Amino acid sequence: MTIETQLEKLTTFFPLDRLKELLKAPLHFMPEPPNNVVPSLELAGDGRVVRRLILISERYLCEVHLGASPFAFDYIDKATVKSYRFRLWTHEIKEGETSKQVYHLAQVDWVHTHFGYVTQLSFVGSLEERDEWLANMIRSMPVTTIL
Amino acid sequence: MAKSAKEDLLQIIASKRDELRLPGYWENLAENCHSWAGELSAGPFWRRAESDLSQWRTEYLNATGAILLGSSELPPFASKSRAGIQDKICRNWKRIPEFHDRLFSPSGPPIPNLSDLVRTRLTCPYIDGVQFLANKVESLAKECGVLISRIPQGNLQGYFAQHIGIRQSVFFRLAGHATAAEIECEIQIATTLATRMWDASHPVYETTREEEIDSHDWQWDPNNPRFISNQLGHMLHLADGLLVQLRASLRKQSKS
Repeated sequence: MTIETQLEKLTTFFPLDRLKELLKAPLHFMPEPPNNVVPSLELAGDGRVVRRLILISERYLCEVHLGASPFAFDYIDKATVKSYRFRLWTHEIKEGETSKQVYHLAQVDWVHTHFGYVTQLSFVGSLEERDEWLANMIRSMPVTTIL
Repeated sequence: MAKSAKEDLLQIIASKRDELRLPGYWENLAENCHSWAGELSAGPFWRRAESDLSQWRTEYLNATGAILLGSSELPPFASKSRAGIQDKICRNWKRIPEFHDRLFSPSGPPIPNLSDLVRTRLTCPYIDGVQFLANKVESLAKECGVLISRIPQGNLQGYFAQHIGIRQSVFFRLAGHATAAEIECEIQIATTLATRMWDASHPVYETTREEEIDSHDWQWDPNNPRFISNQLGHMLHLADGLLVQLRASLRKQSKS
């Protein structure tokens, strides 16, 4: 799947033109083109938001902080990831005793060998969406990367 | 991003409420606080204070011959940032064991029990204006049924201000759901000198208040920034008092 196709999947959160505009500088400075994109989703007042994107190439990870002011992004050597940590759980939004919504959550930490650095990704959504997000992540960054 | 001791502590604090583990909880809390600050600034209590202000100014002018407030209107309320909320929670968690149980109520929306998530500061040129204005704001808060507390602050570190706590009904918004809640907001009233002192010395206070500092560490060390800032705080409080005395004696002289 091309980067373009992967970005199109995020148009629920960002208009594609805006997203492309935001990624212009991170892509320009990236020494090699990314093969995959993993979004990090969080809960906000009105629903879900994508606050960060991880662009993954053969040798680099680029973390783009979409909502940051000033706009920020950084690169790190993919080979420095030596631990892959998963946390999966559910959270129920209630009004009194009434359940309004159940969210399936995930937090994944890629722990780097450098100075305790951690690339942290999160997900909030339905069970099916979480499975799809996890599958995309594993495809983009296989657990074997840590070997 | 490098994991810090603060993040480790926040993980421990998250045992108090599951919601703290939600991705985006802190950012969302800060965004809620920002909305509440806007609502309180435009709300009936602050509008009423705004409309009573001209009467308060006149009353104070007649009594002292001086102006009550440095600004032409009341400042809006401001909210604490995400980092500011986290820092204050971590600081109190380390220093005050009782804080652990009162930080969150077990039910209702997950809003930390801090008195200044939303706050504003009123700056008076004269120290008796602080007392006068605090009396007026306190009475108004009582009349409107929103008063929680009035605390005249004065400490060894040279911080002098009057803090009035008021309650505000809010909606905590998360994932498209809004839950009604009540928060405490803070109105700080201080002199222009004390406010300048606070603004100037805040970085010193921020960098050192993480640690428990014995007053002996700075009270006998003139090179310690706390020595300067803390003593200067007391000196300016004295200067504020002397200014009022000077103003009163000049007024007496001009009348005779």
